[in-house]
Amino acid sequence: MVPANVSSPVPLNISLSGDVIQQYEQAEGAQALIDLRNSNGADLVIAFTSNVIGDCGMAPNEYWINSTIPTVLLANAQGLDLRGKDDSYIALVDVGCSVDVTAHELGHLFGAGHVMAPGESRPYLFDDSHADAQFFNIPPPINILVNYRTIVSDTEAECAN
Amino acid sequence: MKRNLMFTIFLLFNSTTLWALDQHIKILPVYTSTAGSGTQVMKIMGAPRLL
Repeated sequence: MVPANVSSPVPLNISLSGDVIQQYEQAEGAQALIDLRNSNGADLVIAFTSNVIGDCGMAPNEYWINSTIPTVLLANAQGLDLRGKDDSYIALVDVGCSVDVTAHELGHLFGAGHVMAPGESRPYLFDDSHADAQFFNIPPPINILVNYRTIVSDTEAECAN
Repeated sequence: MKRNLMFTIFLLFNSTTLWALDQHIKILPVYTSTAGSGTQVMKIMGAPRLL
């Protein structure tokens, strides 16, 4: 567990519009946001917005650790994987959504991918992506099922399906 | 013996220093002009998605 130092919210004097991808790209490309990140020495930035069409939040997914597509650490000479340093530090959250969206997107910024329902083929999108993690702690035919949820699970059924 | 002890202390100090570098992650919340608008509409549970 790494302690997090959460700063007080600061205004980002830009307006965002459109769907989640459009708003994310507008925020990510805003020089004002980059300046705020640098001046505050922030490792991660959560951009709160509203009226996102359709969705509740977004975080970059290039380097998510996923249950079916393991992400490999590509370390540099210093042992650090810095592939996401320029674009994997920001998440977008619609303030009109459940409070746990922020935690969910932070989970992605820490590298967590979506939890996938058993038997599903798609790695992390939509209806199959926010299921409870499920483990059989005793092999069949006993089939005692243990469910648990993670922050990248659908904690309050706020996701599609 | 003394040299080994000093070396051990040196390693301990170094590893502690390296660990300290990763002690805190700073998270900066920012809110856009849009987020403060009065036209905000609470989303219907079940419809929105998380990407």
